[in-house]
This record gives sequence, C-alpha cells and structure tokens, in this order.
Amino acid sequence: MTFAAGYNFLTYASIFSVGVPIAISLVKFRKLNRVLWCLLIFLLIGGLCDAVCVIYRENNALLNVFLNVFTILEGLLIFYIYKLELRKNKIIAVVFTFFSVICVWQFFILKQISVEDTVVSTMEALFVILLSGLYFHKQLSDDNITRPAKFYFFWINLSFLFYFGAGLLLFATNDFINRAPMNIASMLWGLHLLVNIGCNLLFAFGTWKIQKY
Amino acid sequence: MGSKIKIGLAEDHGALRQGYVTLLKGQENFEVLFDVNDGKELMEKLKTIRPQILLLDLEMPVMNGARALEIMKTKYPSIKVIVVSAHFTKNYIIESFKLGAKAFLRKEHTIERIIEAINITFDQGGFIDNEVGIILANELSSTANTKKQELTEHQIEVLALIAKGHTNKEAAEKLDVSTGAIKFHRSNIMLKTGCKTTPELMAYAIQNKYI
Amino acid sequence: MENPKILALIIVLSVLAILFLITLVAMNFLLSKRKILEKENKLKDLENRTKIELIKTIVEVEEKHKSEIAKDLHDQIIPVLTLKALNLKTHITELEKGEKNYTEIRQGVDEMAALADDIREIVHGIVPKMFTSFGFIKSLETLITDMSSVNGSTATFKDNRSNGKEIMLTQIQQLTLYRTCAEILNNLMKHSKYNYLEASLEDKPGEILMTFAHDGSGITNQEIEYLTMAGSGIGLKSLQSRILSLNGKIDYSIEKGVSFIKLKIPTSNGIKN
Repeated sequence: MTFAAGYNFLTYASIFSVGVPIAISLVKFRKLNRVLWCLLIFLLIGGLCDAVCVIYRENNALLNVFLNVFTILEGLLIFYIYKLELRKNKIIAVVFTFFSVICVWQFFILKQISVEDTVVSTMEALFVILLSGLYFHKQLSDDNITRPAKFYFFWINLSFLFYFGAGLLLFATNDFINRAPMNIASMLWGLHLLVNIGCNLLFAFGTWKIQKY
Repeated sequence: MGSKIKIGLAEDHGALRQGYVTLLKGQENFEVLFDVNDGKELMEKLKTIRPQILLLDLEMPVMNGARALEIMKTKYPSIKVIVVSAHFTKNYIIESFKLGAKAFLRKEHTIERIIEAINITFDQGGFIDNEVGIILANELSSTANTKKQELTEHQIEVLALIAKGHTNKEAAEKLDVSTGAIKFHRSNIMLKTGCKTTPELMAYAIQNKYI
Repeated sequence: MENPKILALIIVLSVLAILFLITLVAMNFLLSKRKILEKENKLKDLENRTKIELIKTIVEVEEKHKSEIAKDLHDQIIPVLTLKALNLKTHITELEKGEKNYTEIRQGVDEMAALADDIREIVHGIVPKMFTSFGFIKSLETLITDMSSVNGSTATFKDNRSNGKEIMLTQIQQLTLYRTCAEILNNLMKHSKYNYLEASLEDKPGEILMTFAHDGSGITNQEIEYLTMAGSGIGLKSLQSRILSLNGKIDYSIEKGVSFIKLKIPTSNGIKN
C-alpha cells in the first residue's frame, strides 16, 4: 500500500470514526448536558468538513475557505465548552478575544479567507492546550475529586489535548508539508488522521461515561 | 413575744414535708405560711408571701435549693434561711453558708433541734451547733497552711523580669513562652513567698538579690 | 527544500514524542490522585477505628460502673435488709404473744435509717452529690480545693468567665465535663507530683476553655499520641471518649517548668442551664 492509498483509507476511516461518538450521543440523547451538545455539534461540523474536503480537494480556494471557516467555528465552540466546564470567565474571555483578533487579522486584513492558514490553527492549538492544562489543574487541586477518570470530561479533555498537542507541530509546519513530496505529505497528514481517529474514540468513551456522572 | 415567727418550708419529700408542717404548726409561737415542693414553686410563693424563717432542702427538683438560696441572697436578704440537708459534709456546710444560709441542720435531727434552731436564728440571726462548729473550725485552720518552698530556676527568671517592671506580656515575649505560663509562675511565686502584690514581689526580689 | 525526508522524520518523531508525553502526564496525574485517595482512605480508616475503640471504652466503663453498683447493692444492702426484715418479723411475733420488746424494734428502725445512708452513698457514686445540689462550677471548685493539702500541695480554682453565671452547655454535657475534669485531676494527683496546681475556667464566643496548669511532671501531645498508638490503658481512652462525646479537644504542653492541660469545649449546641 502506498502512502497516498494509506492516506485515502485513513481519510474515510476518520470520517466514519466521527460516527462513533455521534452514535453514542444519540444513544445517550436524554442524558446529554450542554457540554456534550456542543461536542456533538463540533463533531457534526467536523465530519461535514472532512466530507467536504474530500469532495472539493481539487478546488484549493474553496477548500481553504471551508477549512478556515471550520477552524474559526471549531475554536469558538471548543472555547465555549471549556467556559462551561472551567467556569473561569475572565480567562475564556481573554482567549476568545485574542483568537477573534487573530482570525480577523489573518483572514480579512493580512490575507484572505481563501488562502491557506498556519497561524490561526497554531494559535488555536496553543489556546486549547492551555485550557486543557487548566482543566487538569482544576481536577488536581480539588480535594473532593479523588477519581478524576470517572468524570466524563476528563476523557474529552484528554482527547482535545492529544489532538491539538499532536496537531500543533503539524499546523505549524503546514507550509512545509504542503510543499513536500506527496508521500511525505500523505504520511504526515495520515498521522494527523490517525490521531483524529483515536481522539474520536476518546470522545465516544467520554460521552458514554455521562451515564455514571 | 407577741407575734408568731412566720415560717416557710421547701422540701421535696412529701411525707417528710407534711410531718414538719404538722409538728411546726403544733408550736404556739410558729405560723407556717407555706410549704412547697421545689425551688421554682418557692420563688413563686416568695413574690407574694415573705416568711421570716425558711427551712430549705438543698436537693429539690426543677430548681434546687442551692440555686434558690443564691437568688434569695440578693432578692430577699431579710429571709433567714435554715438549710436542712441529708448531706452533712464540710463542702455542703461551707457552700451553704457562703450562699447566705444562717444555719445548717441534718435531716436526721430531731424536731426539738429544728425548733431550737428556728428560735435562735430568729432571735440572734443564726445558729451553729457543735458538729457544724467543729467542721468550720477545722476548715479554717487547714487553710492557714503556709509551707514556704524554694523558687525554681524558671521562677527566679520570671521574678527578675516582674521585679524589673515587665508586664506579663513583655515577660512572656522575653522568655518565649505564653502569658499563661507567666501568670502561673507569678501565682506560684506569690504563694511560695507569701507576697500578695507586685510591689511586694519587687521588694522580695531585691531583698533576696534576684535583681 | 533540504532533505524533506529528514524534516518529515523529525516531525513524526516529535509528534509521537508529544503523544507519549501527554500519555505519561495523564497517567501520572491519575496515579497521584489515586495515592491521595489511598492516603485519605487510610486516615478515614484510622479515624473510624479510633472512634470505635473509644465507643467500646465508653460502653466498657459504663458496664464496669453498673457492675460495681450492682455489687455494692448486693453485698451491702440486700443481706442487711433481709436480716432486718427477719428480725422485725421475730419482734412482731413476740409482740403478738404479748412480749413487749420495744427497744429492739427501735434499734431495728435506727439500723434501717443507717441503711438509707448507705443507699444514698451508692446513689451518689452515680451522680456526684455536690453537682446536683450546687451545680457545675461550685462542685468543680470544691473538687479542686479539696485536693489542696494533699501531700502538702496547693490547688486553686479561678472562674475567669466574662458572662456571669451561665454555662452554655446542657446538664448532661456539664456532668460529662465535670467527670472529665475529675479524671484529669485524679491523673494529676497520681502521676504529676505537683506542688501547685491552678485550674481556671474561661469562656469565649462559642466555646469553654478549662485550663489546668501545674509545676509537676507533665506530658506533651506527642507523648499522648504515642501512648494512644501503643494501645494505652482504659483510663486514657475513657478520658478521650468523654472529650469526644463533648466534641471537644484536649491539648497537652510544657513551657518552662509549667505543664498545661487545656480543654476546649464548643458550646454552639448547648442550651442555657
């Protein structure tokens, strides 16, 4: 199997893997809280985006628009999820403001929304890693929490950390990857898709945990 | 002696109370105004009826005799109280007199002794029989125990600071202890040396070359 | 582009390293929380075991007390009562026959009165007599001053309360506190060989503070902890159980030749006496 073939396989696998946490959300429909509703919307948009990327992979400009819009929506949705969980409104407000300013600057002032982006996605990854760390800190410093793994959001937080931790380097070297030979690009983005599949499974596990929460 | 001695009675043993009432009423110069079962009832009666002599049992329900005696000392000081108790111990006797009782009798005393106590208390303001007298005398002589002892090293340290005019707080800070420890040492030093005031302690310290 | 393959390899390895690091951090986080949980459980276990031990002691002491009372009644009262009843029966029979023996009957009645004294003594073993008649403060003061002149020592009591006569504890709590103080004083008399003992009572918002200060040989909190761990005798456990029932704390310390025992009892649940 070539890298390209492997990448194609992983693309479809990644799209279908989104179905796992969505399916579990539908099973646990009645028990979903606001966080999991936001996560469901995030997964649906993500799955949609992946599908669109497959369909429009030849049209770079349109593809970039979809990807950049998705990045904005993804970021805002994830920050809102952390606002609900962390309840640290000031920090979220600062992150939200910074991210919005960077988006506006990159997509409407410095460049265009139809141009490939590295900066916004990298900043998004950094913000999410920061918020993820804050959640772990909150669990660590709360003496009433003795079994963190029994909380559903522990797994969702871990998933975000894996995805954006691994993705940070890939987003930052996006330019290089897109100019690299096909097999190298396929291998690197394939790795990203593999992590994506793993993260979707963690989302599914976290959503399943809501029964015992 | 024209008027009768007005007597009140507070005793929770029903049969005993009735017995006292009957026997006291038999005396020509006594008038029994009331008899009650407990201290609370006694306080209610005293609001409207004032005996000259009150026979009081210490152990009664609701409000005991000791509490009633305490209240009467301030509210009704003119009433002369004769405590009649089953407990004939040094502590009971001393505490009763401290609370204002004028006489202390055993419950086992004959009615003649009780009548004698009432008459003498009414005439002379109080009554102490031989037994009570001996107990009180023994108690007074035992409190005069002034065995002098040597001061310890810590006490000398504290005495030196007191003699130099330091307050308890300052002395505590200097010696790195609590003010409680300084206060204790001060009391102990006063007991050992027989000094009663700080100037006396200072004089003692100077005399004995502690400063 | 210089050697994209090497750069790609570096990126892959870096990503894998980041993933590995995150996994390690998460595992460490879970392990550390687990250790905290284990430690807390151990402490809870120890607390529960201590409480159970103390409750056992309370029950043991109560049963012991009941047995003593039963024994006293059995040994002192019942045989005498039985004998007196028999004697009186004999005298009544004689009376019925016309033989008048009033002296012996009078003597029998006197002996019954003396029995009443004995029963009274036993009853007062259950509740201290001064406590019922004169209340907590006076009975405590008497207890302490009675200790004076034992072996040439001196004991004083100071009532340093600010709010007058009210003790904000229920009757039962006051009795328990009285017994606790009595036990402490008993222990001091037996073990500390003091020359001067000062007991004082203070009240602060929401609590009562009873302090025993003496110049004899004292003990510290650490030594008490050690004795407790080493399975101390019923005396110490009985004291601890009484203090626990009052939700109180006891503190032992020594400062420059002064030994302190400080008893702190909360009064928020008490009602005025």
